[in-house]
Amino acid sequence: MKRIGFKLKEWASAGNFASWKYVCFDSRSEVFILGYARAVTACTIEVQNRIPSERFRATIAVPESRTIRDPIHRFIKLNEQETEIIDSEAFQRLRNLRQLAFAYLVYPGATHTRFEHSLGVCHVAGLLARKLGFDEDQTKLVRLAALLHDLGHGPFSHVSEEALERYSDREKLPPKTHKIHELITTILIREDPQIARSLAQNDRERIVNALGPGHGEPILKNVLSGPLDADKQDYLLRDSYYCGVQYGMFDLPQLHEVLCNIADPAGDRTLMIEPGGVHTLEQFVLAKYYITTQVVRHRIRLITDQMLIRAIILGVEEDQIDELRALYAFDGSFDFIKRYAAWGDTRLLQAFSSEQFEGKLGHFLFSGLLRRRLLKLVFRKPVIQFSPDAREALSAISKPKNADKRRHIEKLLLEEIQKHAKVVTTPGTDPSHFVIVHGYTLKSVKEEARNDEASILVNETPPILFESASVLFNSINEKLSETFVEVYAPVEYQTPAERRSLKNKLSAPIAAILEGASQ
Amino acid sequence: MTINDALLFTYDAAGGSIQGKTNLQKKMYFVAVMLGKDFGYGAHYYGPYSATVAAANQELKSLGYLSESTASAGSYNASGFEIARHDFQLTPDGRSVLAAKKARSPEDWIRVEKAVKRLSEAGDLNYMELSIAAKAYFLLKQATRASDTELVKQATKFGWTVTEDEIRKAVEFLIALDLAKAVD
Repeated sequence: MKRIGFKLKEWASAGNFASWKYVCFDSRSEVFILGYARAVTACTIEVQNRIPSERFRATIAVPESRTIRDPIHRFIKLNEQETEIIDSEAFQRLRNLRQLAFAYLVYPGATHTRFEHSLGVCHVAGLLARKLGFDEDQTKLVRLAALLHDLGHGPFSHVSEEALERYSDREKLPPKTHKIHELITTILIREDPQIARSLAQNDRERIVNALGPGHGEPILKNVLSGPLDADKQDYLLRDSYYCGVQYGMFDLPQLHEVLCNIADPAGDRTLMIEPGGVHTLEQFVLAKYYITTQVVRHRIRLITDQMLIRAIILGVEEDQIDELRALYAFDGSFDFIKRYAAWGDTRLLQAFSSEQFEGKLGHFLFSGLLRRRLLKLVFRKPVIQFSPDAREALSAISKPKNADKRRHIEKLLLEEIQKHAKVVTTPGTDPSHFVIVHGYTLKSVKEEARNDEASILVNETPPILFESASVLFNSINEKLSETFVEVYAPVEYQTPAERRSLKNKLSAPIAAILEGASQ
Repeated sequence: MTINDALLFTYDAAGGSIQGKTNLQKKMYFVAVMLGKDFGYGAHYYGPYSATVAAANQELKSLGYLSESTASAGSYNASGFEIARHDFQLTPDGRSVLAAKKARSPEDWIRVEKAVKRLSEAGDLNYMELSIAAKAYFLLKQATRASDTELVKQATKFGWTVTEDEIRKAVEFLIALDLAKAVD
């Protein structure tokens, strides 16, 4: 049930007058309409005039859907049930979570949020459902699941995940088959009172199952989480648009044109592409590769993400800020989620870079992120260039279990860096806390064409893998995925030449420290 | 024992290479069961599957410890299995790291070696049969006790299509591994 309230004059002047039925009112007076409506076209409302005694009941037509203007898809049409969900507080909070975390520090336009992305994914899921011939029930399910898929994200989305993993009470949580934000999504769908009012319990469970990492109807899973899912189809276009880049662009209508819904001999239906669609898909997979390398894994973005994670760890473990720990200490309860849902990107940054925390370790990094005073990249090397014994340790250096080893290495690195550069920090703090060594992996472009077990199939007889059907992808070396180790530090330089000189000076000694200390 | 250690030990015990991602996943599933480890397995459409194992395998590849090659596995089949087969092999760097790990944790290495040997002795199943056996064990663990017919019925709840004959063969394999026993 949804409570509606609006001024009659505004309603009438907005052109909705014709949708009224059986209403008596004084058109010269300003009348408030209060009522309750289900997802039906007509409902009974109570109309109250300014004179409290003058009450009467009337039946009105309520809008069946809402149409939202969107820069990517132009018009996104939502039905009444979906409209109720987006009006819930749990969904509205997605407006406070930027889709690309700190990418706006590189691409100033990239301030779009999980809110409009979720609307876009719902829209694309609907287009896919129509193209693939889903029935009404399947269409409803995939649209709702798509709409709700990001509901559990916290401030700075995926960056929060690492803090949640670190401080959550895993003993109180289900086995580690879910990411924490996915568990939070599940709990919100099941327990949020406003969402529960909009969705029957059976629907809530079906949505949770459809979004979960486990089993389910393959064709529905293909739309929600696979190499061609609605999520990617929206974010590639949306992220490109807001970043002002062309890396993620692909021909969405043409991609949908070449998709097909094929039954295998066992009767299971799966998503494939028509043989003539191989080049369309090449464009899509390359778009994903480029947006990953140029936006998501942009060198500045890697630094900002690591700064935020380090700021949270320092805030919790060194500065002992209870409020910060409470934000990430997920215990599976709805009480936690109520607190968690009150935080967004801006609130997190502003709260912990405020004067209240000045002089604290975390404050240095939080305020650096707020003011774009970032750590600098002073070293980068593929781990394959280290000895075989050192590679594994360096690749895993950012994992919590290696915290002591990492800290030891960072202290050694600071000593070396201080010999060659001016280190900028808050007076009275140990600057080694702001030296960060980080290991990460970039998937090969070929791996971008599939998701773990799920590969894209081309509808030949018999079906073949997209990677085999594509001459372009066939020629790409499978081995080209690389793990890198990088070092960030609070150093200052004035010119690009100084930066290059510093990196050259530091390259050999840092490599030696990493090689020696990681074994 | 880390998941990377378990994977490298399994490759070594299996002769230095494993053919196919499904084969790797299911082999590691049974190794995990026999070691009493939780490597993050859950029910997926293709049977028990662990994203953690997939990620660890990917990491070992990017570190230069494994090489990957793709081969054609033949035609499309009814169960949706892979069509191209991804084969993984220990590299010389991987073997060098493995030797150091064996020296550091000889007991872990012996446990994994025994588990892989038991798998092979219980019946040298191909990747499809191994996958069905993994599904059968997954279902049996949940039901504790079930007939072949009940297991087939349970499988449909997970979207898995298996026949009674396939289940029968899979259960024989589980019995040989001491992971199940026949009751009247």
